[in-house]
Amino acid sequence: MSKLNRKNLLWEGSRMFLPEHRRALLKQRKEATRLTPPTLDEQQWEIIRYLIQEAIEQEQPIVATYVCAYEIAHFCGFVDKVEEMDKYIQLSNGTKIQKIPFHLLMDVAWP
Amino acid sequence: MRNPELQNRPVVVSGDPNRRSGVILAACPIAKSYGIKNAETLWEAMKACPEVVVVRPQMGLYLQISLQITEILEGFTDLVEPYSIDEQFLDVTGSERLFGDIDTISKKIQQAIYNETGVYARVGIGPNKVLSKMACDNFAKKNKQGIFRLDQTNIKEKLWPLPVNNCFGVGRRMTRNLQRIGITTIGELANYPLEKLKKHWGINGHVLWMTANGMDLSPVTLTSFSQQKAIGHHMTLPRDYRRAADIEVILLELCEEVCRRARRQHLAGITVHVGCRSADFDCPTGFSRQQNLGYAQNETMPIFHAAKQLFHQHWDGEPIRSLGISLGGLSPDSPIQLDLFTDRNKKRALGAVVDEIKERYGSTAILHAASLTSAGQAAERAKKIGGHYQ
Repeated sequence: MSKLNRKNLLWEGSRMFLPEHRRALLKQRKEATRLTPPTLDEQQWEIIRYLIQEAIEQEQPIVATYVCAYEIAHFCGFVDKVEEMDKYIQLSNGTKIQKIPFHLLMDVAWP
Repeated sequence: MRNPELQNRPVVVSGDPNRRSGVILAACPIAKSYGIKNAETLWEAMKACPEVVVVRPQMGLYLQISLQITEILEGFTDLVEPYSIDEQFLDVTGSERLFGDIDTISKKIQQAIYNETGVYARVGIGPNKVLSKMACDNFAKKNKQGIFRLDQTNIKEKLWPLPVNNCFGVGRRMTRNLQRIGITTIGELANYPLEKLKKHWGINGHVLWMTANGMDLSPVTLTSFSQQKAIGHHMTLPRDYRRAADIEVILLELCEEVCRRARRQHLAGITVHVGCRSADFDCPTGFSRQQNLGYAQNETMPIFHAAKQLFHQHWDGEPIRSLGISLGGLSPDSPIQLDLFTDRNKKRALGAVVDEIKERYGSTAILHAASLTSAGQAAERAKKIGGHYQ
């Protein structure tokens, strides 16, 4: 019987699957794992604002945690600018410049 | 569903009657009551029922609804395995506490699909995939509720009296083979000495015996279609192709499509497989052969040359009705096997440019000149999904 435990071979051999269908299914599955940024309350925003302000004044780097499509990302860098109009913060660390929209921001902390 | 005027009329879905796709792809229950069967020609169907309404397939819409149904099913369990555009397996073992017993879940699924898509889904229930599939095909599609449960308690009474061709995995040829040794029903297959079946058909015989006895060890898996073993394209030709030069045009077009898909997924294949079937229905000939390419590749022309050589080696000269090519032994295309005599980088760059143009301006934006001859099918094929109009 062990030879017959062929996992899913019985169905894979007979399956009729269009390449367009396969591609769309994989895309749908990937989209299902897309992260939605959490809604921060006023107090959390206050802390984030304070830390960014401190980082600018003291010229110190900070670590920003943000949602990057399918995963949570971290970026450590100096605050270049805070664009209130376009609603993003720009950090840089000598090798990379990162723009982070406010709505994707989850947390800010000292390194 | 989309056209309420057709609700109580005999409706069939059929391709273009002037091409080979002019067969009945699907028929509604009213059309079937006139004796119309799937896969018969459109004119046969029209003879059986002159007032039949013929609609063209809309593959894009079917795909979209199939994906929507997958999403609905994922609301009932995370174990959903799409098997084809209109069949999906669900393992609801862990969902009973949330949604109720298996019969309640089945009704809820059927209702949810109907409410959101207007499609009347049939549900086959079983302790494994093969029993649920046979429950769906042989019973749920034929009873009023559209739900049927098949397990070891009713298999002898319900499944075994059915003709052997209703058993999953038994096709036209196998039916003939089984009839030759006196097996005409699923029950006779189930009770036939296993050793004899194994002697005749090896592991396949064993699997058929297990199927007839309602045994299947396959899991419902999420990964079955995410790992790809081969990339292939197959085409039923609109007319019989007799000249080698014409067949080579199709071979080239199929190679281009296969290689484009491989390149898009950053894969390369080490074996090329060519299969064809002759036009004579009563005495079909054809072959299915593969060749090792020496190293993994995904450039169109070298694969075309290998496929052409393979074709000429095995073709018996009979007119061709269908042709297919696939690329197997897949691996990532990032390590390149360098060749002393050809500049592979140049070929790869050419492939990348062609792909980019097709991606941006449509798959007919750039074609091989051969595709513009009367033998070419690339332009027509670009309008279709799975051989039917989008």
